[in-house]
Amino acid sequence: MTTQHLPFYSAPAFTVTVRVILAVAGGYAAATAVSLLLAAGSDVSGRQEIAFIRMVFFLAWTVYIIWIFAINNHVKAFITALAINAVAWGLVWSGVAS
Amino acid sequence: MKGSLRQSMTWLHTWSCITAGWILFAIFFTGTLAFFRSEITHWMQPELHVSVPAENSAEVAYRYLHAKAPGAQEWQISLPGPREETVSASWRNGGEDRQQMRSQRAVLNASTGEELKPRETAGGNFLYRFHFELYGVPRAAGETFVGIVSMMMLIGIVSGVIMHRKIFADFFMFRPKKKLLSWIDGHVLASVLALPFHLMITFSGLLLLGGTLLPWNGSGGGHGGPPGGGGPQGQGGPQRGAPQARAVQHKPAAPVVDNSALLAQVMARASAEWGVPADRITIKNPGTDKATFSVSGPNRVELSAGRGGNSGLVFNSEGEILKVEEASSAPNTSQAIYNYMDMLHQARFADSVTRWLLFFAGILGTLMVGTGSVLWVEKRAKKQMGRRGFELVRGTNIGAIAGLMVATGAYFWTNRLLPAELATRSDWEVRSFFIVWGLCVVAGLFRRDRKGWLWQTLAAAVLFTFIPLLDVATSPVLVPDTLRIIFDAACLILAALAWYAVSKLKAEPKSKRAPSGRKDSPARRRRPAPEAGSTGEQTA
Repeated sequence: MTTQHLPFYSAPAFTVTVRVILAVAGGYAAATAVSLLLAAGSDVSGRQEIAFIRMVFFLAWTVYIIWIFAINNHVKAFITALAINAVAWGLVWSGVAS
Repeated sequence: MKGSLRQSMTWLHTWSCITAGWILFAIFFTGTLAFFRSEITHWMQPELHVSVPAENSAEVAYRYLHAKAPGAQEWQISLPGPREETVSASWRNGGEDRQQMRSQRAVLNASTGEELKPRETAGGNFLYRFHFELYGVPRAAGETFVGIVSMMMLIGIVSGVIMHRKIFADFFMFRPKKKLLSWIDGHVLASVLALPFHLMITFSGLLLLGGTLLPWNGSGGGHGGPPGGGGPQGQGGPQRGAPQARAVQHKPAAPVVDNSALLAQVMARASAEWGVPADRITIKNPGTDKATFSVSGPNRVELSAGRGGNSGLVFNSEGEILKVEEASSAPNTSQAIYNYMDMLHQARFADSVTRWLLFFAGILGTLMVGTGSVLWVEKRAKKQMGRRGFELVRGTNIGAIAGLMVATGAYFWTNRLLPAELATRSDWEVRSFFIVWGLCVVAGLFRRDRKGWLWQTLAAAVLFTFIPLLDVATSPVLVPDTLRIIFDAACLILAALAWYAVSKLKAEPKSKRAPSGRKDSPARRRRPAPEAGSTGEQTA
């Protein structure tokens, strides 16, 4: 919890920036993968698929951001963000759902 | 982040919202007014006030079209209704482009059929468009920006719920006259009272902007993009041309048959069928014995059907039903949910009671954002008074919150006071809005204390209070119609809120000459010391 005399990677400005990027950009990526997966797994198509993806995307993005910010350890947050994206995008590229 | 879940969420709530607070306030405020978009536009065009809906409104429009566009392929009559006092008539000859189509439209006095020439105004549309694409920036940029702050809002709402251990206990707690505590309780009250609305409006707003925010998803298409309906969107519109209409090749020089007597009959038939009056009639091949009448009305029974949820009736020139155009329905649950969100956000279904409820919920949302921004300042006043960043937020708050109200009031006043025939009139209305807003922001930065708030809330209160008088004084019709009364009432509600703020600001201690930026304002010292610890825990 102490913030004085810390190396740059522990300085609050740095950790906060990293956390925000992890949450926002990582979340955009993860939510994209999740919504693509779920859309492929359901039988919607065309306009309905677009609508479906929008709903899943914004729900997933919100949950992801809250999740990442709820983790009280920077390293754990980093690993979690990477893991979620790796699994989600791994599934998308492996083509399981299509 | 660090510490407990509640601490993380408090941090997230604070920073996600305060950084987007000013623009969110503007979006919430203008969006709330946009629930009354038609009413605002009607109010802003006093030339239309002479129109009084009558039994024969359809017929007068028919007469107008009969004289104006006898050889047209199609006539369209849009009737007065709960949100429309005039009747509008438009026609198509086939093959014209959008630009031409727009000129082939007239707004008529609904009882006499006299063509009305309303003043040019930015109307309610300006406020409506501002709330999702801002102004003066490319549409995609504006929508992206609004989308990003909406997302911050959604995160703020969710984290705001999580950070309260006992959200319902907090909801029932109101500690007036306790300065900071009152701000916190007021903020919680405004937020929780309409929490489902706040969640719905933010989430559905994101869905509507999904075309811009998710360019990889489908064809994009911006606000209200592709996934609007769930089926045919027609309201008896041109694209649903009945085959027999196309078959007619010859263009009669003038109508030979006068079908106007049929109008009342088909409308009565349709409204008996639906239980609501028809609001639009499309006549194909008018004036011939092959004429067809497509009638539609606000007869939606299912929100989940989306925009295509109205059924229509098509009559032939004998007044018999040719075809029933069935309302579409959502093909599956996810589309149904999407359509619900779409319909709720845009209040496409709302009757006047529901519209007012949505308006009040919107006001609560606006208060939620406004009190949140003020809370941020109040919270830090003791420690950070005089610091550059803090003072910037403190000053901008005034212009962003009270100043926006002043600007909106000025916008309505300008509308009525500028000469009706002024060139680029609507631009000047919009300019006056931004000029006044800009001035308020600058004034707020110079006078960041209670006085700054007092002046601007007082200005807003005065502007909105006298709007009904301005209305009566500058409209050709003395007695306001329903739409004007709705608008005037909404303005009086805003005035009441502003007066409430004025009275609160005046009630504060007289030791008010503390120059802005002074480290220890006497006003802050009034806060009871013992409470300081307990509040710190609650909200950041």
